[in-house]
Amino acid sequence: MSRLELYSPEGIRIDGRRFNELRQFTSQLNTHPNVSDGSSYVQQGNSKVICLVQGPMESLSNTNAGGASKLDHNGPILSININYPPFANNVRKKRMRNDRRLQELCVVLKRCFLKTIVSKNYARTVIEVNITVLSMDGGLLACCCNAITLALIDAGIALYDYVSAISIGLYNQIPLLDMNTLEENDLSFITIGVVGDSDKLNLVLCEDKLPLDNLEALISLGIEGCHRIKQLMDEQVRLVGTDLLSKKQ
Amino acid sequence: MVLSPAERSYIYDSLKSPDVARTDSRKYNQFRPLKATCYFLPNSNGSSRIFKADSLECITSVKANVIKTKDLSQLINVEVDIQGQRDDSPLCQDLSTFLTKSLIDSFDVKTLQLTDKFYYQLFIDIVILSIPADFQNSSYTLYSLISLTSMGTYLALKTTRLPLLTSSTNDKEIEEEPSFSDDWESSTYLISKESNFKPTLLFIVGVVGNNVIIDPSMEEEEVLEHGFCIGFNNNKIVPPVQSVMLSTVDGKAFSQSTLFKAMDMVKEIGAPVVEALDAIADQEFDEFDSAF
Amino acid sequence: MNIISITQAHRKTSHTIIESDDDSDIEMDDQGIITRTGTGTGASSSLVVTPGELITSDPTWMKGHGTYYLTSSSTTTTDENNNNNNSEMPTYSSLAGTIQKVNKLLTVVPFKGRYKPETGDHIIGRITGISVKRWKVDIGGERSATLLLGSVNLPGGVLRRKTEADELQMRSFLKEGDLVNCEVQNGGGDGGCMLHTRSLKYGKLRNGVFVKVPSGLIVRSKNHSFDLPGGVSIILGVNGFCWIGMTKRDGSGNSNSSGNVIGNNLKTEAGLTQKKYK
Repeated sequence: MSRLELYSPEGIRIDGRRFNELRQFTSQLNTHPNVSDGSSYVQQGNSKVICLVQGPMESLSNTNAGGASKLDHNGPILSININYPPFANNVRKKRMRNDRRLQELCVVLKRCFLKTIVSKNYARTVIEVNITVLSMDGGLLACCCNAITLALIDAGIALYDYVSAISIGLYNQIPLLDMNTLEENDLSFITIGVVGDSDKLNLVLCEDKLPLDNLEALISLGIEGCHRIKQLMDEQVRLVGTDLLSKKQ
Repeated sequence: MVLSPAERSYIYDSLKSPDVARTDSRKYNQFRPLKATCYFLPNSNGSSRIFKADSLECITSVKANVIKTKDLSQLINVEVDIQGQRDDSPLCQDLSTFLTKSLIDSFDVKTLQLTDKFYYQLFIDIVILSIPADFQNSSYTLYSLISLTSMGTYLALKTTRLPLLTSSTNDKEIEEEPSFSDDWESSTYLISKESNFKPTLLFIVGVVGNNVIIDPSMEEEEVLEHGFCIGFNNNKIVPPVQSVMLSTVDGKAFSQSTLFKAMDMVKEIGAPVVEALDAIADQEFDEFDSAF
Repeated sequence: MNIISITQAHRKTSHTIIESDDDSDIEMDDQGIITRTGTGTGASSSLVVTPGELITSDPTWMKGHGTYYLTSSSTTTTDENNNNNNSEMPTYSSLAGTIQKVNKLLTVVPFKGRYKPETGDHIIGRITGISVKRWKVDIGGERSATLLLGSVNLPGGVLRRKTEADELQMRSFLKEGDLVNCEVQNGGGDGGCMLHTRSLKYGKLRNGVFVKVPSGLIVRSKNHSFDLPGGVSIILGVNGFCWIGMTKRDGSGNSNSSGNVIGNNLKTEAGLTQKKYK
């Protein structure tokens, strides 16, 4: 196979995009109305993720009544679980039960959303979030974050604002927006989650090494990308909401 | 869901009556409506998503590997993953075993054969997205999932595409690995349109008294006395024909005539089900229609 | 910096254009509520808000459920006391839903959500646990509800002082999994609520089936029990839990005639002929 050109001199990436071009973003809300309180489906290019939210409720569904003592008086117990089946990647690979990387992503997402949910309304309750990755082609954390935001909104859980996320990588000095698997394997990248239309970040994760002087350019490109994604998610929420309203009347 | 003793006896008495009055007014041999989509996993050779409204959902993926082997039994591997259950729980293991056995027995290995030594190895992974929250406290065993997963597998296999083989099929003289075309548009179906081969379908039949019912709902499962798993292929009943416990309480023995009644019913409804699934598989794939 | 994004071509779905005669629509603009320009789906789209959206900058509005405000240094919610009357307090929405204004109170009603109990609601609950002098009941809301031993009518008398023997025999009356027809005595209050069955029309449910529907579909009304022809009656609980069962015979008080199979009932009361099973 000839050498893959991650970024051609004309400014074209492997899949034909420009440096500031997002992959095709599709989202859907209320995909599983009967099995969960809130559900969503997010597709960024070939990365597809389903998110199911149960809650707020009194105890975790998979424990037998023993959870009451662990309830927090200040806010909800947020339980996030990422399910990564063996067919999600290109090469079939069965994940171990306690895959470290997935657990770390769960912790990062939990910290992000505990700040985003209006905790005071949900004291002494449990919110359970289950993510199933159907197919992954780069941007795992970003897809999960976007899917959780939409599913929480669908469940009617109060949020201060949207958290929209994207991954940005660095090729020499050039920032590339929304990485796919081939780019993620070769380049360093960072995932950021932005609050609504502001410049504040609720989620930052870099699993590689990045030079500090390029960081600002990466983050400002990422913030612009996140604003666009927030706009797309917002459109979908309004569409689904107006549809629900029209059916009730 | 947990049922009260009053509800339990009501449903049981209704099912036991000669009229077989089911709570959703279905006939004894009527299925609940189900929906399915295919071709939505870009990383898999074949995929299907099958679900009933208000019930469980099953996503199946078929991925193929090329291996050099003489042992034909390792060509088909089925694994079931149920959200919220451990991988080694009896339910997951049993579902995997049932499906593997039913497929291996009837699979036309020639469709997987590339050359004398090289074969395709299929990995069928099934994900059940969620089960009811109080499954631990309820008395149904969810073995009715066998039927749903078997239909999902059938659809996924029918819509599986494999890359086109460009090297020759006879490698006794050449002795090199098979090579494939890079053009996905020229891929071929695992089960071509002309072939008669169909994967086996498994049906779950519930038994109450002298009555048999197909496709029991979760409330009905809780009061069933017994259950059968019956295989169907090419208009015939095929192995496995096995008894399964659908409810963890009230289990009773069944008579020979009930078993034959169940087999007759499956023979009757098997063909329409296969026709319906084939129609779904043959649907035009719409690139712009999302699976969700 | 411009971002290029690709989205899927949407098939145009037809939305019903809702003719709104609602006066409040006209008031909204005068009182400084910032609305989004309609996207061609009718008047209802101007009432839709999403999390993080600014509803109004007018500080005279009282902030109800589903809204929050930001002060310069910290974020506070509507539950905290706030003395900053002089500073600007723009109101933001924290839910995806529609704006509801009652006098000067601004709330956001979400599109979807779990059932929230209110006093006087006629609901159906499922017993999930027994503790000292009370039952824990699942009503499909954010929290379980409580049914006190003193709030039920025991068999053998409408009003009877509950003895210690009753406390020890609670399970013989209502056990885990039973369905009860009841009313909310004390709604709200952080989501947990108290129930009671102090009326002949409430109590344990028998001879029927249970169906669950989304709670938003049930409209609160005066009467939630209906008798249908054929000897069938239905109860539509406000929480979305519904019961379809045999109509109670008159004059039987609390106890139902037990054990009637629906097959026989259909034959005698609705006149259906018996089907032969092949």
